[in-house]
Amino acid sequence: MPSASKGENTYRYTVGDTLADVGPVVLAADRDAGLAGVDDERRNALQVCLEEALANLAMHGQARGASKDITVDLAVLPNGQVTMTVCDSCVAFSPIPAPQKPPESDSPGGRGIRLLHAFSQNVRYWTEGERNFLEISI
Amino acid sequence: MQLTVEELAGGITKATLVGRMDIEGAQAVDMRLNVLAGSANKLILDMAEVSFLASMGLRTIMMCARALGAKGKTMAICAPQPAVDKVLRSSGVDEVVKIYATAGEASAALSA
Repeated sequence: MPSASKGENTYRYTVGDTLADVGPVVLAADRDAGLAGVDDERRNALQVCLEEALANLAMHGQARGASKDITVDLAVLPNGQVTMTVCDSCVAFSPIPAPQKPPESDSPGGRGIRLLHAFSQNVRYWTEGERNFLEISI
Repeated sequence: MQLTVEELAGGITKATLVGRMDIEGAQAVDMRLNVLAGSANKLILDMAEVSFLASMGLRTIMMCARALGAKGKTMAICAPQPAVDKVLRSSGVDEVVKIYATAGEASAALSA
């Protein structure tokens, strides 16, 4: 399984570079969140947001080195809130100010960013050195 | 993810999806939905048994809708579960593809 517990209700997942690597991590995070007592609505939001963030990196992330070096840290707070931090070594690209497709557009892409905002309470993106961080609170 | 196809009266094709429409699920039905988009005149996507939907599944649905729309043909979605319905509406898919509570309502709307 792609997870390792870091402590009480905190988990770390290492993610491969391709789209095929995303699903097992999303399922593992959902499983761990369920065991930590997260309710169904938040677990669904967790999966929606994590698939979007990781699929984005798999399809569009440009590795600066040999690997995109993606990790996900999941923390379940005592009040049931979930914080996920997706960290990567790709060329920095913030999803937060990305233009969003207008609803009437029939274009197949570009809707994931809207999901990220709709299913989270807060999204932050920052860079430290060559590492990028996307923090999603649910 | 499973996909079954049924021909209804009035030249309507109903595609019933079952399972998780995550990355793997979307990839599993992508090709067949593309083929349906090329052959159907009026398509209903029955999502009653879809337990999860996220961005890659949305992409599959929108590609199907786009292919049909480009030929002047119509598509509708019916019976999504609440969690799936929230994904469809918050992403704006409902502005492009009409969503109905039941397959009967969708069928009546496409027959009109």
